[in-house]
Amino acid sequence: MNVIREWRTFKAIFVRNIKLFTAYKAWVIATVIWPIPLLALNILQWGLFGTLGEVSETLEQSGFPPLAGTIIVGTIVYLLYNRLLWGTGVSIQSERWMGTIEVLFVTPTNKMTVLLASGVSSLVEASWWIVCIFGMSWMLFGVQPSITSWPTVFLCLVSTMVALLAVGVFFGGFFVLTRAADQLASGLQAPIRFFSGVAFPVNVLPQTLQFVSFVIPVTYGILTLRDSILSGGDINTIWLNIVALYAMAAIFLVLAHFTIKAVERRAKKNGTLYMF
Amino acid sequence: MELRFIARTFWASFISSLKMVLRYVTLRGLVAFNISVPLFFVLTSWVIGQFMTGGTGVSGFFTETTGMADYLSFVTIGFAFNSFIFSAVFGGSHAIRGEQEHGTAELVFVTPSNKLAWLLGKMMGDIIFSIITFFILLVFGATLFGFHPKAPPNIPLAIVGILLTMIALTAFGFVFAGICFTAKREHELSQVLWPMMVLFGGLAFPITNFPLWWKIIAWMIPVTHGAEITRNALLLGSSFLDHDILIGLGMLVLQTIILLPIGTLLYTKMEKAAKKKGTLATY
Amino acid sequence: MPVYAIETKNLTKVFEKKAKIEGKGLKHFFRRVRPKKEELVAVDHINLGIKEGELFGLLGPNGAGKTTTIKLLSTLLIPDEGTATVNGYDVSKQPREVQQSIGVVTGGERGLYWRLTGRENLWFFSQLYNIPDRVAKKRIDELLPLVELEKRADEHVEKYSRGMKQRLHVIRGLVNDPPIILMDEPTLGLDPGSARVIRDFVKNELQGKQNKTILHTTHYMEEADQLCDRIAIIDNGKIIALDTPEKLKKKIRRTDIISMNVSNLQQADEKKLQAIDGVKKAVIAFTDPTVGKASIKIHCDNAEEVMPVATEFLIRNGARIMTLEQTKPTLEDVFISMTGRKLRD
Repeated sequence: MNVIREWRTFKAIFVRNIKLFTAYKAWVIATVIWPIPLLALNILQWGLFGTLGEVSETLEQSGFPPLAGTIIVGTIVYLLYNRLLWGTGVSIQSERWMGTIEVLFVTPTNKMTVLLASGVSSLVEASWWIVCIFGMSWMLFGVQPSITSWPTVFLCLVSTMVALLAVGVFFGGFFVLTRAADQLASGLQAPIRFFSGVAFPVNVLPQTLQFVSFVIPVTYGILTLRDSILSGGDINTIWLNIVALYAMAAIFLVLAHFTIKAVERRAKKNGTLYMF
Repeated sequence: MELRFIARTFWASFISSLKMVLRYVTLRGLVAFNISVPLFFVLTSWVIGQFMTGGTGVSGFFTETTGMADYLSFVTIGFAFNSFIFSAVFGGSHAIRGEQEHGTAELVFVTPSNKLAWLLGKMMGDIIFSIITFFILLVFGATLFGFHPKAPPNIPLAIVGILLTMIALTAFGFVFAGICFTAKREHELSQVLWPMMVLFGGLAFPITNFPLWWKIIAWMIPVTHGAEITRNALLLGSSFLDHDILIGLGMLVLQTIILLPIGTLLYTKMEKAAKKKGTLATY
Repeated sequence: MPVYAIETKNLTKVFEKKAKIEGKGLKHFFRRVRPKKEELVAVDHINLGIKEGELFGLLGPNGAGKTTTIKLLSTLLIPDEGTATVNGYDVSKQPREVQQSIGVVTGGERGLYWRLTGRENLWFFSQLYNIPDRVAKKRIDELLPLVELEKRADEHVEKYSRGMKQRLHVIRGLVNDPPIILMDEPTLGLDPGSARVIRDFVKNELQGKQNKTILHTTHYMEEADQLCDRIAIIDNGKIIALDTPEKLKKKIRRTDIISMNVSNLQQADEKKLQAIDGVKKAVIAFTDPTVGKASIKIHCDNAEEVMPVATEFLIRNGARIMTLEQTKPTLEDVFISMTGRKLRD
């Protein structure tokens, strides 16, 4: 593997995506506004059962963090997953729509590099979101973080990003084969939101359903961040989940490596690479 | 003659886009996708409900606020309207974007056809799927959680509520499609608008005890009235002549009367602006 | 006064673009954040009059304003100044009537619905021109054989070759049987064979048999020269020349050159060659004097008039002509003489 070549490819794709992101002013503005109603929806969904104060009290009595914080952390991780899935997973599909996929695939570049670069550029977009959400949530919902170790919070965030990036890269390769990438991506969002405990602590799920939660990287990201931001958790309390995140990242990256090669070969054999 | 041309345009647009959708992805996949979002939202409410009610599923707070016994039916019907939001509100902008990506936008706009009829034809496939999704979701809800109406459901009233909501939402859709000409990021803008409609429309939770400013916004959204009429019809057996129903129906008709011409005018203006700027086909 | 099928008067289109910012540093960074807007005049006060039944060419390099002109005439763009009428209808005030009078032929890989068949694509567009179903189906059946697509009409367009897609584009623009056709570079990217099919179709079928008025944009000068009755050369949004191809070529001062390779030439009779009527200069260069092999270049006003006289003179004097060619001015020469640049720059 030619490292310099791969680095050049990575840089080119990364810079292109950032330029495209900032070229659409509507999107830059939308990224600031979008999380707020989604956040409010996730919080107010609990309003079926009492005032938000009563609900928060019930949660705390059961040993969970307060409602607003729980939902905010869950929503942030979900949006991160969402951005990485769309940014990375659908990057190949976007190349199809733009008519550039064949030009891209005819280059000697490693396609994993292309997907990784798309993923990292999506992370830059997502970081902008995270900053906005934290800032606004603190003001709007009066969230009181309980952080004892900032390095732990940083480690949790980075580990979550790495794991979700790997998931995005894997799905990105898979989408080369199926031409219904956007439908698949959308279809995955809702079950992931449910099983990973975005809108409620995952332990609230019936036991029979929790096993699904614990094969999804998003779940671990939410658990570690809730623990470190809202419950004063440190490395001793979250290390196992961090290990799980990196293990999943490794598994998805390995799967991605083989999947991308296989689907590219299949698409080239069938002549469907450029079709949408 | 003009009406026949409009009908012809609508039909050609509808049939062609339906063919493309059916050839692009299987019908099962499309319906599955359309169902998963509202279904999992309902399941989320179920999980939260089980936790908050200690597994009984009965919430005194909810009953006191709405007069209905069953919060899951409330949420199921509310979220079933979610598919209408996606089809009627965002279907138009999605269609425009698709034409721009296919490179066929200019070839359509160079014809003398009525562009709103064309747009409506493109949206109709989505709308039909959303109606199918709506009923599948109701069946799922009834099967999984059971519906517990307090009185025999008034189905004609529910149908009228749904139809009027769709017409009013379609007007929104024309405005949104026009915005898509300029903004070019319809997916992102729809992702902002959708949760706002669900939030303010009271689809996921009752807004009875919410502040006045919230209710004012809710009143301006057709889906608020549509969902309320449908719920009252199916869960409380309300009649056409009930005071709240009459107000809701009246609001939907008024919104349709106001929004349709505004939507049409705005869409036409934005199309003209795109032709002036030369951005008709760009994306 | 002739009635024009297409007429423009001072037709102008101006686009805004961001000004380029040179330099580095904080001052230039902030300028980049809010760059000034500049105007780009894409079509600059053009005046055209295209007669009914005429095959009119709009020739110019990339970025000259050809496509923008087509879009203005087809109501896809709204002019900023000036007027244009198509089939007697104003493009700004009567767009619907204009749309009913025209067919637009574009090209490329896009512009067709890949998941529909060729027939379905044609049917769809026919309905947008209000053609009744039965009539549309009959028309489609007539159009498909004209471009030899009848056997592949029921396959998805995604399976078509580039040439087939282009042919489908052409008949898609004819589905409403318009009196006026606007063709925007219809042979772009096609191989010579496919391009010839399209050109023959345009010239013989559309203009020859059906008497359509055709505005044809291209940057291939040979195509414009071959096909068009008259040509407007456009550069930087302005019409810089407008006439028949022959008259345009005659406008520039350029001599024809007759080049020959001969053998058995006895002597270098340049003066006798130069004495021939119409010859400006004759240059004879022996390549092998032992067998009288020489190359001869004759500069003249009109090669067609001088060539028979010069060749007869040489043959009478015992020479044998081995090769003979002439070069005449081309439209590229016209363009170069007017702009100082090549058409393909």
